[in-house]
Amino acid sequence: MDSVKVIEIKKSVMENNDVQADKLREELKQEDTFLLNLMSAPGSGKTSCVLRIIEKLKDEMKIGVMEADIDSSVDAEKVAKSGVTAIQLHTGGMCHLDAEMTRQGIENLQTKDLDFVILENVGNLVCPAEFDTGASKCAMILSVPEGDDKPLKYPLMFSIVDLILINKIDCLGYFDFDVDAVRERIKKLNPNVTVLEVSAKTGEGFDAVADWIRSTREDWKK
Amino acid sequence: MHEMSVVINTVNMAEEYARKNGASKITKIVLEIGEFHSVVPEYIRYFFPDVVEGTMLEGAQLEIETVTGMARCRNCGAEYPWKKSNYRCPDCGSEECKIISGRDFVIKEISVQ
Repeated sequence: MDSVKVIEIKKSVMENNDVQADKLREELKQEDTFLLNLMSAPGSGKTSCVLRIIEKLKDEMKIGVMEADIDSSVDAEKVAKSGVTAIQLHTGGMCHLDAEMTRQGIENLQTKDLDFVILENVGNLVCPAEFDTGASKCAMILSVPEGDDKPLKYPLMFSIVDLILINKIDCLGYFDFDVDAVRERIKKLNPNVTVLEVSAKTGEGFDAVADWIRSTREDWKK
Repeated sequence: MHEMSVVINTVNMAEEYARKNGASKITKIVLEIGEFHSVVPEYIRYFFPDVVEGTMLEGAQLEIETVTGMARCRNCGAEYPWKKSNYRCPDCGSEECKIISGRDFVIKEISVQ
């Protein structure tokens, strides 16, 4: 009988993705394309927020959008109507995007001449938080109907992002959603994150979102 | 969930190490899964035998060790098991912290022939 040998590996299975993500991040930096990974639960208003952001910034930046979904191309069609380049990525059942899938999207979108690309990740508050896509910055949306307890239930997502939008703020009167409590819960997990209250329906708050993108992109370029 | 893709990456990585060491068969694999990693160990055990069919890991014994997730208090600097301490620093009572471990999915070791 062959003798058994034990090999110590001690290596993260996620490491390959992390290496790919760092490589993509560096390449995008070289070509001056700022990539924002936008995450949230399904139905929180990702696409509507993307449309509001485009409205604010399309005259000053060349924008591209990658819409990731398990199926359908309704989101990409909606976004393309706003006059920016949009592509749909089908994850074929996968619950998240990884760095390799993001790279494929970036290559298809031909980002070389683009200043700002939004990656609309698959609607999910769990898995996308664990996979670095190679984005320059990460943002998430929490909408009022989802409830103010979400930072307690999905702490990882809330702790890895640079920007949090509290969307559907126009509905505050209809739900028991405590904005101060949410801010307090978020602060415990992620003291440096920017939290902005918005409504994609009315457009409220998107001047501040556009300002955040402008200034964050400027700092990132340095 | 993404247990399947994580297990496929695990198999690829384990095979790569086995090959580098001139082995042709992996008889045992030990994984360390952080308490806060979203994969469910039971699912991994459930479909592991099917995923490894036809690979060097076919028939291999799977061992999963759970790693306690630690937090560092932003107030006093103490390190403590986050979940076990009810998400609060046992020294000063602060809830403001940075999670410092428990998110990894690591191949600890493999036994090869």
